[in-house]
Amino acid sequence: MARSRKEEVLLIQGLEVSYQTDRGPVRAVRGVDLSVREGEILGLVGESGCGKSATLLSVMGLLPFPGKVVAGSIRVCGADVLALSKKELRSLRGSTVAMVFQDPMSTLNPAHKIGAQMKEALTVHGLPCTQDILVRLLQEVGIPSPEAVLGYYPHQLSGGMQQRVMIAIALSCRPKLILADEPTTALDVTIEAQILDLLRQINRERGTAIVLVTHNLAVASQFCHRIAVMYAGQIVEEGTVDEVLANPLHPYTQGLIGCIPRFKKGVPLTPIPGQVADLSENLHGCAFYPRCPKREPACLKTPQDLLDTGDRLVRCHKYGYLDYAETAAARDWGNE
Amino acid sequence: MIKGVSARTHMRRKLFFLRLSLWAEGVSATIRRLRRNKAAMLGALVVSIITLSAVFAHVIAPYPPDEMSLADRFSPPGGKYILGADHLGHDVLSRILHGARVSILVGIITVTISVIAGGVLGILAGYYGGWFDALMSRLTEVLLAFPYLIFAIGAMAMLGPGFWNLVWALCFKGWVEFFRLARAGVLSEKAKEYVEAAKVLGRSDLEIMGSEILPNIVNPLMVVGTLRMGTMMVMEASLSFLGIGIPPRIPTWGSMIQDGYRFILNAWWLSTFPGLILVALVLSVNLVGEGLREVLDPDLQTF
Amino acid sequence: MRGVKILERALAAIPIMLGVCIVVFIFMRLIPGDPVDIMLGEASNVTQEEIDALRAQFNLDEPIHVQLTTYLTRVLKGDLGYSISRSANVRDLLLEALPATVELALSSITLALLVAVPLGIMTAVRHRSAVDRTSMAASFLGISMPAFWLGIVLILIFAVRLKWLPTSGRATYGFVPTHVTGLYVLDSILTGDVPALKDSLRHLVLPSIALGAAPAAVITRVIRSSMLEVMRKDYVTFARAKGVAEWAVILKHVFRNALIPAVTVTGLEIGSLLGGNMVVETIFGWPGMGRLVVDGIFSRDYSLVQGAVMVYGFTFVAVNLIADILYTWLNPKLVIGEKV
Repeated sequence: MARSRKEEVLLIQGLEVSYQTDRGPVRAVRGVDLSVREGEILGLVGESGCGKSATLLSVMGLLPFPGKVVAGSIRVCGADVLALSKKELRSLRGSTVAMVFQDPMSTLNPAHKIGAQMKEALTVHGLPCTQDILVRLLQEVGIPSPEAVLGYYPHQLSGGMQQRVMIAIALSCRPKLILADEPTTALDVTIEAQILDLLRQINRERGTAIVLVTHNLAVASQFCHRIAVMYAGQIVEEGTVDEVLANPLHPYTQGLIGCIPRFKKGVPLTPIPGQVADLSENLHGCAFYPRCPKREPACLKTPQDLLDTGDRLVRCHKYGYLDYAETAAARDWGNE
Repeated sequence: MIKGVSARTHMRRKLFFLRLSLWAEGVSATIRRLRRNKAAMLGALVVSIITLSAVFAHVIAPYPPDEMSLADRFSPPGGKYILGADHLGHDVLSRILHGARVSILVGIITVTISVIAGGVLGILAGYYGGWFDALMSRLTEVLLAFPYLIFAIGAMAMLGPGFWNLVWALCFKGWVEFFRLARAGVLSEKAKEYVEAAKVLGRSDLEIMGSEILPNIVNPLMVVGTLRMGTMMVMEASLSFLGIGIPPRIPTWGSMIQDGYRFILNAWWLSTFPGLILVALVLSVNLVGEGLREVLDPDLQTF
Repeated sequence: MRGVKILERALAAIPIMLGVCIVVFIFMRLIPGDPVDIMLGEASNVTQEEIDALRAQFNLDEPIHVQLTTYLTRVLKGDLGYSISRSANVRDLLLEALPATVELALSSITLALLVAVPLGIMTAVRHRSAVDRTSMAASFLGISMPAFWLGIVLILIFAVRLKWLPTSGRATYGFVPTHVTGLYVLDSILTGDVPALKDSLRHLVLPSIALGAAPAAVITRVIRSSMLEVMRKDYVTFARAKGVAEWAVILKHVFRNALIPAVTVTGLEIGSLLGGNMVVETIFGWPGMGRLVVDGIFSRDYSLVQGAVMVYGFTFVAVNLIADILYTWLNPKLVIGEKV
C-alpha cells in the first residue's frame, strides 16, 4: 500500500481507555492503533458508544472523570501526549491540535460574547489578537458581517453559524490537526454539507489533517480519504474510502453499508440485529460475534487480531493467513 | 344493564386494588433504597428515638416537668439532675423530653395542613387555570414577599400565644410553597399524553386529577414536606424563644432556651442542652428529607 | 433590550408591594376587637364620646373599603401611624432603627458570601474529596442550626467564657462614631475614628456569624451544585480544548455561568436573614428594627408591628428585585437580537 512520505501528525498505538464505575471497569477503548498524516482526512466510523469519542478526547487529554488511559501511547507531531506535563499539554491544546464538537449550541459559552471567546483562544497561546485578526478568522469560515458577529452572544446565532464560529476558533492558532467529533450531527442536512465543504477546503488549502468522528458512513464516504471502522472499542476495518466502500471485508462494515438509505425505490435497508456489545465484559474472541450474520464457532476461539490483507486492515480471522487446513481443523473441533 | 354497571364497578375495584398494590410496591422500593443511605438511616434512627421518648415522656422522665425544687435552683449537670436544673429548680432533662412533644407535633401538624391545603389548591389552580389560578398565583406572590419568620411573628402578634394559634400562623404562609410545587407539577403533567388519553376515555376531571396526575406530582411534595418539618420546628422554637409562641407554662425547647438566655452568665446548661437536641432533631429530619430526595426526585432543587 | 426587561420586572414589583400593604391591613382587621379597644386597654374611665372620637380619628367608623383606601393613601405618603408605647411616629422610629439592621444584614451577607463563594467553588472543583464531604456535612449543620441558638452558644463561648468579644450592643458607651450614615463601621471609617471602628467591628462579629451561618451554608450548596452542573457542559470541555488554564476555566467559564442561579438564591437568603435578624437582634441587644418589633409585640403596639412588618416586606421585595435585575444582567440569553 503506497503511502506518501509525509509527516505523521497523529500516531496512536495500543490505546486502552477504561472508565471506573461502581460495577467495575468499563473498557471503552481496547487497543486502538491509528495514524494520521499531514493533509489527510481520516474518518472514524461506528455506532454511539463504540469508543470513538473517547479516543479523540484521550488525544486532547480531556477524558471526563472517571475515564482514564490505562495503556498505549499517543503522539501528536512527535510529542508524547501522555507524558506531557499539564502545562505542556495545555499549550498543545488549541494550538497544535484543535477540536470541533458535536453540538455548537452547547459548545460556545452562553455568557460570553463571540469576540471574547475567539480572543481567549488566541491569547492563551500568546498570539496577537486584534479586531482585524478576529474579523479575518470569521471571514475565512464564511460568516457574513463578521464585525457585528463579534459583539453577539452565541444564542443570537443560528446553529450553522455557531458551528462556523467554533471552526474559526479551532483554526485560530493554525493547528496541524483538527479533531472533529460529529461536527454536523446537530445540524440540518443543507448546513451539514456547507460545514463539510468548509472543512474540506481548509484541509486542501492548508494541509491541515482532520480526524472526523461520525456514525454516518455516508458522510465519511464523501469526505474522508481513509476510514477506520470501530466496534466495541476496537478498530475492525481500516482502509481507503474507495476500497472499504466498494469492497467491505468485515461483516460489521458490510452491515453498516447495508444500513445507508439509498436514494432509490425498492432497495430495502438491512439493519444489524442485536445491540452494541457490553463493554464492561471481557471479550472472548470476536466482539461482533453475537450480531454477526457470518459467525462460526471458530470466531470465539482466539482473540481476533487486526490482519493486514495488503490493501487494508481487518479484524476478522476469515481473512487471516491461517492456512486452510488449520481453519478447517478449528471448524471441525468447534462443531464437535 | 345492571350487569354492565356491576361489571364496571368490578373493573374499577380491580383497578383500585391494582393501583394500591403498585403504590405499596413503590413505597417498599423507596424504603429499600433509602435503607442504603446511611446518613438518612441515622437521621431516621434519631428521629424515632426522640419521637418515642416524647411519646413516653411521662414514663421515662425522671421528674414531672413542672416539679419545682427551689433548693436545687441552678444545679449544674450531673448528680441529681443529669442535665442540671433551671432557675425554678425544674429538671432540664424532663422538660426537654416533654418539650419534644411540642416540636414534633408542630412539625407534623403544620406540614400536614400545609401540604394538603397547598397541594389541593395547587392541583385545582394548575388543572383549571383561569381566574382562580390567576388569583391564587397573585396571592402566593404577595405572601412570598414576606420573610417567613416575620410573617409568623406578625401573625402571632395578632393572634396571641397558643398552640393552635402558632399552627395557624405557620400554615398561613406554609401552604404557599406546596401550592407552587403542585401547580408547576400539574402544568407539566397536563401537557402529557396520558392525561389527554384519560380525557378521551371520558374520565371525569376529579378522577384525572386524583388518580392520574396526583401520583405523578406527589414525590416533590413528600420531599419538601419532610424538609419543611425541620423548618417548622425551628420556627416554633424561634417564636417560643421570643415568648410569642407556645404559652410559657407548657415546656418547649424555644422557651427553655429563652430561660437559659436570661441566665446566660451563670448557667450555661440551660440553653445549651435544649438547643443541642433541637439541632439534632432538625438535622435528622433534614437528613431523612435529603435521602428521600435522592430516591424520589433527584433533580428537585430545595434549600 | 435588557433595559426593557429590567423595567418590566421593576413594574411587576409594584402590585406585589400593594399586596403587601393589603395583607398587613387585613392583619390589622384580624385583631380581636378594634385598635381603639386595644389602645384604651383596661382604662375604664373613658366615655363613649371619647371612644367614638378616637374611632373617627382612626377612620374606624367608615366602611371597610374606604378604610383600606385611606390606609393605602397614608402609607403612600409615608405615614405609618403612631406608636403608643414609644409616643413617636412609627416612621421615625423605623428610620432610626434601620441603619443598625442594615449594618448587621450587610455584614452577615458579606460574611456569608466571603465563606460561601470560595467554599462553593472549592467543593465543586474537589468533588467527592474529603474537603467536599466535610464542607457538605458542615453546611448541613449550618442549615439545621437555628440562628438564635447559635448566637447564644457564641455568646457563651466567646463572650462569657473567653471574654474576647462583647456580649451585646452595637458599641461601647463613648465609642459611638459621629453620625454620618448611621452605619457605625462606615461612619467610623469616614470620620477616621479608629477606636470606634475597632469597637464596632468587635460588636459586629458574633451577631454576623450567628445570622450569616445559615445563608453561608445554603449559598455554598447552591454554588457547588450549579458549578457541578455547569462543569458537565460542552463549553467547559471546549474551553479546556482551547488550551485555557484550569483556574481560568473554573472562574471564567464555570463560575460565571453558575453564578446566575446563585444570585437568585442569595436574594431569597437575604429575606430569611431579615427574618432571622429579629431573634438575633434580641439576643445581642442590637438596637435595630427586629428589636423594635419584638418590643412592640409585648407592649401590644400594633401600629409599630404593622409598620415594621410592612417595611420588612418592602425590603424583601426590593432585594429580590435587585437580585432579579442582576440575574437579567448576568444572563445574556435575555439579550434579544436578530439571528444571523
